[in-house]
Amino acid sequence: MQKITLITLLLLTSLGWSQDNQYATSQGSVSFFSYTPVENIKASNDLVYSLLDLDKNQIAVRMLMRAFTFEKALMQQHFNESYIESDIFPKATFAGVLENFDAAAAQQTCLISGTFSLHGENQQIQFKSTVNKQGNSYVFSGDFQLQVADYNIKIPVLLRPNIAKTVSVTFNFEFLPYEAE
Amino acid sequence: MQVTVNFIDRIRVMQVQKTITLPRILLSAVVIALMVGVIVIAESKRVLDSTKTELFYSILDDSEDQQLAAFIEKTMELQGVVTEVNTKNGKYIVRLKQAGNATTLLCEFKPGNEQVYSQINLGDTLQVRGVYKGKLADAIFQNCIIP
Repeated sequence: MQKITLITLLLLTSLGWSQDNQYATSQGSVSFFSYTPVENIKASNDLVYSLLDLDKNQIAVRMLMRAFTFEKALMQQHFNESYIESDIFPKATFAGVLENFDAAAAQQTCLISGTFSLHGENQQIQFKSTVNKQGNSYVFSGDFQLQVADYNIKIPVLLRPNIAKTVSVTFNFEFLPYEAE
Repeated sequence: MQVTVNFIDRIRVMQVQKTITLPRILLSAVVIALMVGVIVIAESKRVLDSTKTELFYSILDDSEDQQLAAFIEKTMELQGVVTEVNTKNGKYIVRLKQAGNATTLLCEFKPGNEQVYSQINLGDTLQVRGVYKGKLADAIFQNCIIP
C-alpha cells in the first residue's frame, strides 16, 4: 500500500501537479491612456503577473512600474523618475474578489472589487470585467478609470495641462491552470 | 611682371593651404575614430561583466527585492534554454530556464528583428542581451536582443 502511495506521489510530481482551481499568468497586459487637449499619453505593460483562485474567487495582480513602455523615451523617464518614483515604489498591486462569478459560464461579466496599491497609496476600487472561458483558460478583460489625485502623484504646475486628472486603465489577462514547479 | 608675382604668390598660398588641410583631415579622421571607439567601449561597458551576472544568478532565487535592486536598469548577457515563446501586441516574449536557478527569465524582445526571433524554438539554448526591470514570479527583462 505504501509503495502504491509513493509511486502515485512520484507520478504526480513528475507530471507537474496542477493545483485545482488555481490559475496564473505572467504575461497579462495592462495599459493606461491619458487624454488632454495638449497631448495623449499611452503606456503598456505585457509582463504583468496574476493569480486567480477559483476556490475562493480571489484574484491578485502584481506589475513592475518600470516595465511600462511609452511611445517616447522621455515620457517613460518622467513617469518613472518624477511621477511614480519607481525606485521607491517599484510595483503596483491589486488584491480583490470576484463577485457573481460562475466558473462554468462560457461568457459572462463579473464585478471585481478590491484594493489597488500604487505609489504607496491604497484605494478601494470596483470595476466590471468580461470573462471568456476558452478551453482550460479564462480570459479577463475590461477597463476602469483611475483618479491620479487618489495616489499622491505630484505633477508640476507647468505640466498639469499635459496629464489628465482621470486616466483610463485597460487590462487583458489569459489565465492558464497553475502548474506547481 | 606684377601678374607673374601675384600668380606665384597664389600658388604658394594654395600649397600652404594644402599642407595645412591634409593634416587637418587626418586629425579629424583620428578624432572621429577615437570617438567611435569610445562610444563602442562605453556601449560594451554598459553590459554587466560575467562576474556581476554570476552574482545576480546566485541571489536570484531567494533574494529580497532590495538585493536585486542594484541590477535594475542594468544590461545583462543571459543564457538559458527556451521553455516558452509567445507574441504579444507584436512583441516576442521568451522564457528562459537556467540550470541551477528555479526562477525563470522572461525576456521581452526589442521590436525590429522579428525574422530572427521567429526562428526561436522550444529547447533552443539562447544567448540574450536585455535590460533587467525587476522580479515578479520571473526575472523580467526588456529591450532584449540576440547579440
